[in-house]
Amino acid sequence: MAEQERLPTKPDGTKYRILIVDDAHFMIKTLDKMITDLGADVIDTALDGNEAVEKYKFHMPGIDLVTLDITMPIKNGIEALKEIRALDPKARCVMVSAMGTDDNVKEAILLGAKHFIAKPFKQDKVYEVLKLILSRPV
Amino acid sequence: MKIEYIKPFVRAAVSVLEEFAVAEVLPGDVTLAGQTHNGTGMVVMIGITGRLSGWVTFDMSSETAAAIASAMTRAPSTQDQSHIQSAIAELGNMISGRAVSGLAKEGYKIDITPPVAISGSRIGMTDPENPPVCWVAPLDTEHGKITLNLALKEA
Repeated sequence: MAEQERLPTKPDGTKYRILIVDDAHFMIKTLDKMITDLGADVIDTALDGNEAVEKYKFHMPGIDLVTLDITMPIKNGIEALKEIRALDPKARCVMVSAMGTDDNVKEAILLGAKHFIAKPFKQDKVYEVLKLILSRPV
Repeated sequence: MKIEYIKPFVRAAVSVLEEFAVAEVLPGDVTLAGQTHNGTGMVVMIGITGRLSGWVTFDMSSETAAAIASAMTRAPSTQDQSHIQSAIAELGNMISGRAVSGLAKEGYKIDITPPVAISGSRIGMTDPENPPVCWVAPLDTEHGKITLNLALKEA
């Protein structure tokens, strides 16, 4: 198997910092390992939309990208996306969800999400999307 | 309740399980059964809302749940019930999400609720708000049998 490429670092040489939001501990662990192996830092994790907004606020401006699940209790990923983008219009959010319907994808993109990864996914897909989004100017 | 509704769930279950290296999945015949069913081991339940409403469950033995969770994480089997429940709940979420995406292409605007995983030896479930019957689809895998139950009504 070919060796997995690693994500670039920021212009100052430090690693990109990522917030993972998902209500499933299993998915948080899976994404945490993939992202860490790809050479970025998982700065924090959140289990629902409310926690995501609070953690984004707490770490601001220290988060370079947020991965957001859609179907979550308390506050879903679409609501959290709206609030995070209201706090920081430059926030880079990638939706990571099993709900890959056209309506969901369109709504998320219209609200400012940068990309959509459908579950289940492989590390190659995570690399491809994160590299694309992180390499664009904010 | 149309049998067509269960087909996207069976297709999604086969494809998601195979993507997680549960090498071969053989779906059995779909049958109609009483809605009240008794699960054994682990049951994952996901609500369905929108133009179609109801629920889907995935029943399996504790051993099957542990083996599939292990295949999903590519890690040795664990006895950590919270880890197994989280993995199997997410499996149900991914299968249901993919099935709902398939139904959306046929014009059904529906959504799913977060999954709930329950473990136990005699898990009985009844939902008086939905039809008294559900479609049942057995799925044979190398790790044991998974039973998919689906109860839906048109809103």
